[in-house]
Parts: sequence; structure tokens; C-alpha cells
Amino acid sequence: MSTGDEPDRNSWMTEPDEVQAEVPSEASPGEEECVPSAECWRCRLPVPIVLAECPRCHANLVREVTPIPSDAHGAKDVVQVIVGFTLLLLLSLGVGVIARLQPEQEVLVALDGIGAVLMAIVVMVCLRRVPATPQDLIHPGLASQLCAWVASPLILAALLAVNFAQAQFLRDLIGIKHDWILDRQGQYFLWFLVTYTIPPAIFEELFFRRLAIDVFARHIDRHSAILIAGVMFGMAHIGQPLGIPYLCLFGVVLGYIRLATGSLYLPMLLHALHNGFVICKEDWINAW
Amino acid sequence: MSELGSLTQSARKNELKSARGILFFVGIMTLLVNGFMFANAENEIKTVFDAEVQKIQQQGMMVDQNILTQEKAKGLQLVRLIYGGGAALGAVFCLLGAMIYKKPVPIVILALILYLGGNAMFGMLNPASLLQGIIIKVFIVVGLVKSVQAAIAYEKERQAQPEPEPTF
Repeated sequence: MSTGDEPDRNSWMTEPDEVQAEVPSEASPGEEECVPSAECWRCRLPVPIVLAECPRCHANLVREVTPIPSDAHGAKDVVQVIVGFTLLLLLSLGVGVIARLQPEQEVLVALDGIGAVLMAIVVMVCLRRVPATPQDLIHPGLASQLCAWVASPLILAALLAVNFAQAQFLRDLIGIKHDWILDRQGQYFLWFLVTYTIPPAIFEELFFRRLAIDVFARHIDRHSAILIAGVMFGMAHIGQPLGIPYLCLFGVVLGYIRLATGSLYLPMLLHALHNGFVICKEDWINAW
Repeated sequence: MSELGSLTQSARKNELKSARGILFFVGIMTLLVNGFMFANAENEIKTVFDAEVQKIQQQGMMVDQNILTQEKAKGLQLVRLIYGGGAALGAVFCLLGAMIYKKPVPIVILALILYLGGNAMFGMLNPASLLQGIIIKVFIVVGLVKSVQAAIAYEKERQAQPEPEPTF
């Protein structure tokens, strides 16, 4: 049926201009380059970083990554101390096995010297990355420092008494005639005195009372740290297996002295004096 | 605690369980072996001394029986002391294994130190023993080191997170 008005073909059709107006205008090439973009993690296509979702694959571009805690990283310092302890054990083992063959004094001189140098190297390598001392170990009170210094001669005397008593008891029990100290008497006595007092006093204290206690105290309470460091110290002296229980006690006492004074000076001094007395004991007994 | 955190803590607990198993295994084996050797010490001393006496007699020399008896007694004391110490170490390992959940970090570190030190000490007395069972020893040491790492992380996490309140 025809009407007078011809239907407007364009009445139900949108105007091309209106359509063009509704379509978002594409950014000019220059503007596109100014917007920084990143690569979508799923479709690998470039996406402006301001978007939260990829317009192509709809991947969530804002992801919170929870780092997976690495257990190994947290215990790295403890493992380093254990490795250092193992190296010291191997060193003691090597020196002890050779010394048990009862070689000539010249061989013992060289052995003790090499042992001291290797011990120093191992300890200095372990101390390359020294952790910060925990706060509660740094600042002991003045009273505790004074008490430690004043009581130190008595503590040393008590330790030496225990040492000599247990050594004599074990000798009587087992009937040991040979003593490693007796091998170190004679013309090289002064060399042995130096190698058994100064290097152990410095390097063993640095390793067991500084490094070990500080590292363990970061993860456990300080009393457990001192106990474990003391046991480590005793076990490291495998060349004198019968003396290990006493040496564990000695290590614990020196650990508490370090705690009381907040420094290594008094433990180093007591360690050097203790070893000196032990080395000289036989000489004094002979002179007596 | 997030789901990831609780899964990690479960994994660490399993690691501590493995450490407990290792400590019980090492402790019981050490106790049994050293206990047997302790009981057999007299026979061992007799065998060693008889062999030495035979060597001396083959060289045409005489052995003073009184001194021999004294030396045998002292040797027996020494051997019993060594094996008794080894058995005591085994008992200590079992004790540490039983207490591991109370203070995991110090116990696992102490166990590792005692294990390394004990092996070194017995290696001093008999260097050949160091290589005996070396693969098992390596596995034990690696297991204990991993347990140290897990224990430290476990304690850190446990101290950082409060205990969840019971829900009804």
C-alpha cells in the first residue's frame, strides 16, 4: 500500500555521524606511545599498565604475590656455624690421629704450628660475615661486669681444680701412663706453651663465644645458646676425648663470663691462663 | 594464618617428625651397638691381648703374667668407658628425639652437633670407622640440617601467629 509519504529510509537507521560519535575515538598514535604498557602475563600482549584487567583475555593484572618464605634463608647463619664447626672437627681429627702415633718432637712442633694456622684460617673465614650481636648480650650492667672480673681468679682456680681432679681420677681408673702434655715438654716447651695458649684463646673464643653464641641467640634464648656453644667447644677437642665433659663445662662457664662482661677480653684471658697452667703443670710437678 | 602459611607450617611439622625419627633411629642403633660391645668387652680384650702375647712369645720373649693381668684390667676399664660413653650418647639421642617438640630449635642443633662430634670422636679412635656407612651418615646429617632450617622457621612462625581461638 502506498502512502503519500515515502518512508524515510534513514528514519530507522542511525545516522552515520551519530554512530561515529558513539564509538570511542581511537587514540592517536602519538598518545598511545605516551601511556606506559606492560606485558599481560597470560596472553603476552602489550597492555597499558593503568588497566586492572587485560581487555583481550580478561586476565587480572593486579595480583598480590605472597612470597613463599624460604626456610633455608632464615637458618643460613646457623648452617654456616655448623659448617665451621665441622671444619674444626676435621682439623682436630687430623691433628689427633697424627699425634696418637707419638711422633718425634719436631713433628709435633710442625703439627701444632700448622694446626694453629689452619684453625685461625677457618675461624677468620667464618667471621667474614659476623652477625650483629643481639642487644641483650651487649650491655650487661656495671655490677655484673665488676663481679665477673673480681671473681675471675676464683673461677679460674675452681676450673683448674676440677680439671686436674678429673684427669687424675681418669688416669687412676684407666691407668693411662701416656699424656699428650708429656710429649710437649723438653727443648720446644716454649713453642708449645705459645701455640697452646695464644691462638686457642683468641680464635676459639672468637668462634665459640662470639660467633656461635651470637648466631644461636638470634633464634633461641641466650642460656640455650651458651649451653650449645659450650657443648660445641667441648666436642671440638676430640684429641682429648676423656676431657670432653670437663671442656663442655669450661665452655659454658666462659660463655656466661662473656655474657656477664659483654666482651671477649675476660674469656680470652682466662682461656689463655687456663691452658698455660695446664701445659706448665707437668713442668712444675717435675721441678717440685 | 593464611592457607599458604598453614600448609607451610604442616610441612615443617612433618620435617620435625622426620627429625624425631632420625634421632630415635640413631639413638637406638648407637645404644644397641655400644651396649653389645660393652657386654662383649671382656672377650674383645682377651682376644687382643692373647694375640699380642702370642706375637711376643713367637719372638722368644716372656710375658710377666702379673703385669699382663693388670694391663688387661686397665684395658677393659678403658674399653668399657668408651662403649659406655657411646651407649650414653645413644640414650641422649633418644631423649632429644622424645623432647623435640618442646624446644625444636635447640634440640635439633644440639643433636646435629653431638652426631658430628660423636662420629669424629669414634673416627679418632678408629679412623676406618669414618667411612663405614658413609652414605647413611650423609643422609642423617642432611636430614638434621634440613630439620634445623624447618625448626627455626616453624618457631618463628609459631611465635608470630597467635593460637587460633576454638570455634563452637
